[in-house]
Amino acid sequence: MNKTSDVQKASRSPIPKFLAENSRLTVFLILLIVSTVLSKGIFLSPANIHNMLRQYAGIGIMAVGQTVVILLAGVDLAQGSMIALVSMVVAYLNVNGYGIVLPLIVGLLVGALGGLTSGMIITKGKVPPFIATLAVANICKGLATLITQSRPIYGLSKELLVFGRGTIGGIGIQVLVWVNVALLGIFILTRTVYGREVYAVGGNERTAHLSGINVQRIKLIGYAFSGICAALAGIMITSKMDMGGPYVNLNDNVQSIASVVIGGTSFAGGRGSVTGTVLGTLIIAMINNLMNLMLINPYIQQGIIGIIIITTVTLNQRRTVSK
Amino acid sequence: MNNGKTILEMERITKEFPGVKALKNVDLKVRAGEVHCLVGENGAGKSTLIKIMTGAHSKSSGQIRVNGIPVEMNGPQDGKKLGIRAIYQELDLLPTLTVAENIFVEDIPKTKLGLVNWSKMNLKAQELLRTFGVQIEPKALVKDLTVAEQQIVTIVKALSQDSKILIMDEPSAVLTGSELERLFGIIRELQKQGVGIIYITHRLVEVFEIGDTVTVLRDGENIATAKVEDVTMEQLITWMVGRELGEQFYKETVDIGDIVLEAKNLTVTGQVKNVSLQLHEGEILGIAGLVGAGRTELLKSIFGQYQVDSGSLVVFGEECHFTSPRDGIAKGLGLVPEDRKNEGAVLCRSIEENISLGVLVKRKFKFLVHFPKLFQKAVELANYVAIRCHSLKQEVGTLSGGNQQKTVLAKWLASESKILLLDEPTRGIDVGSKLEFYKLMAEMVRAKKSIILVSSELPELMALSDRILVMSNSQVRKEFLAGEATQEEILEYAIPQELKESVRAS
Repeated sequence: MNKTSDVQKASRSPIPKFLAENSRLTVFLILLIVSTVLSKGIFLSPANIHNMLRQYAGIGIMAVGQTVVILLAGVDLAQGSMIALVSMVVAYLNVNGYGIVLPLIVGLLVGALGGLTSGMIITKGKVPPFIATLAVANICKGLATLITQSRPIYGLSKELLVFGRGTIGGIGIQVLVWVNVALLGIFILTRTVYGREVYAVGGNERTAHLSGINVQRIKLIGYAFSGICAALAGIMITSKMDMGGPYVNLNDNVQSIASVVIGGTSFAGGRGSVTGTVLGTLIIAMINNLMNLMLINPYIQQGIIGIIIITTVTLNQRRTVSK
Repeated sequence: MNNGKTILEMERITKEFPGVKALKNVDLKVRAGEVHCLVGENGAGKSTLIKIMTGAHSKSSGQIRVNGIPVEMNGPQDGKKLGIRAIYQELDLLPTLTVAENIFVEDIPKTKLGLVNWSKMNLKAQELLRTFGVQIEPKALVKDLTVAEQQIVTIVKALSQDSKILIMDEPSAVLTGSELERLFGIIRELQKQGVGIIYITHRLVEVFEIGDTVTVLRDGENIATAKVEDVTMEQLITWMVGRELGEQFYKETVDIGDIVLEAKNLTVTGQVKNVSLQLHEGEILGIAGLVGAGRTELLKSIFGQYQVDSGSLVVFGEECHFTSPRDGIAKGLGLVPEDRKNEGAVLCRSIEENISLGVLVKRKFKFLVHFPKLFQKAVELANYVAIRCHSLKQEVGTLSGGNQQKTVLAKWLASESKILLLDEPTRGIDVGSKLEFYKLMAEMVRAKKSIILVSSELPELMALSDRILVMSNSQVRKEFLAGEATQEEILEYAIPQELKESVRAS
């Protein structure tokens, strides 16, 4: 009942009430102010913000897909390995003279296929999502290294580099892709029949099934979407780094899950939103950026991010339990 | 038994939630050795009151005294220290641990080395269980016990820790006749030991059977507290619903139309054996039988949740082979399941979302949701079935049982189901809500819908049904027309043959 009294206390004027009910936005705003002050304004410079967004676009895109999967009371641990696999596939096809359209299409298909595989193992094989996606992650990692016996692929064509380095109206293309994927995610979850069904399945699978929802289909689409998001992130990262790397960004998987969790989506499924996840990614991005600006040892930074995840999730849990 | 001294006094207890006063100046006194019944409709404030009593909720104002001393409780731990314990409807047992472990979970006997003293724990558990005259093996896993046995384990657990006040929240909801007798035996034993018991129930008959005092709550207020011997059933009901309740059941005569659903030799291996039945338009077909007779399974196999192995099912003149509930729903079927928390509602989502689920499924070719229209329909239906809530955005998990059930029903009204399969729809629902539910059923048949009703309460089944099928051992034994059979006759067919023979032999 703590929450009740908090809300009551805050209900005197509308703004504090709004902030109390939107704790992630509050954290975000506080961080924004703290970052600006501590960095003596550098933080707010357009160049810095743009840099930060470009750096986190890949994670942001993955996190949108991850949100759907976690809302379904699952988790996708194969996203990181999918990035590596897509990176290798796209780079391999590109340097072997298949242009850019085909590699991109194949890359996205690989993502979708990987996600579908996880989904099939989970729905048909009744394997817990954690184990199923961990297994698929291993397979992807294996395939990624198999293509060139784990050597990176260099010499991508210029056109492919546009995704990671080009801009439209001064804004990085990968940032624009992130924004669009996030909007798409919000649209799917709040405006489509599929979105409503995701919340129902995640909230109570049995009831959803008995209400006529095709639970297997909903899950398959969810994991496929997560895979496609990972593939998109993989394309952006490949393009940005100008190489196909079998070991790139494997840690991004953790960051993508962290974004969703900090964004307030419940690991038990059925509760949460992409809006929250976007704020979650931005919070992680800002903290990292701030620590970079303050020249904090990068090894310590990892630990600090960990502490922040624990803090936010603990606060979240309290809110849910006190309900 | 009324001479015991007052051990718990609650005075002018008020509890406010944002936007609602759940309790208004409620007084309650419990004496040692007294069974104090607490009755009231869903949402009357019974649960809130006992949560304040146990310390799980904090009160907004008022005073609580235990043995005359004012106390402040800040959590369930404080309540436990004062000897106040509650046994909730949802048994809070750990299913994968043993009976003994569950009983002593808060204070596991240890050896000198600090390890679990298994032999001592099992022995103590056995002794405790024996005082209640029950044969439950302390080493058995809780998940392997029947619901009644689990309930006994919770009671033993509560008593192992020296309880002064024991709160029982609808213990009878899941018990059958003989189990209930055993529970009453245990309660009488506790009375002798001077334990004060607060007994919450929807079955008013039990108030007269076991209660000494009864308190009626309505809309968060204490309407009356009286000695049980001084009140009548009618008086209690009037207090609960705030008006004279003309009758307990409600049934309208409507014209019965053509056959809408026909099953021939429906068989699901191990669940349903050779069941044939016909359902007509505007008809309420009752299905009687004991727990485990295959009634739930029959509904689920008609609905498409269970795969039918042999036999045929004809719905609206069309032979159907449902492979999932989705198929059944597409043909106009709707199931209100027995287990509403796990199968009926999505507890962590809002009322309007739960109701709209029924619409979503029907709109399978449309990709986008028009929310204002969707939720408008939900608002209409929520008003129609009269769900009591502060907002339709409220999570269904926060509603009382009766209102959760109305939400599930509204879902099927939203999907315009023509054949409703109701599985124990009024279990755990108070008298007033039950009557509302019966009236809804009457309106549905008037609107040319048909209903198959499974209920363990025979008076209800007999009053509402146009025909009654009696099931036992997964088979239909007998068909009665409305008013044709007495309770005894129905039971005669409901009790399996083998059971009767074994009784005769012994």
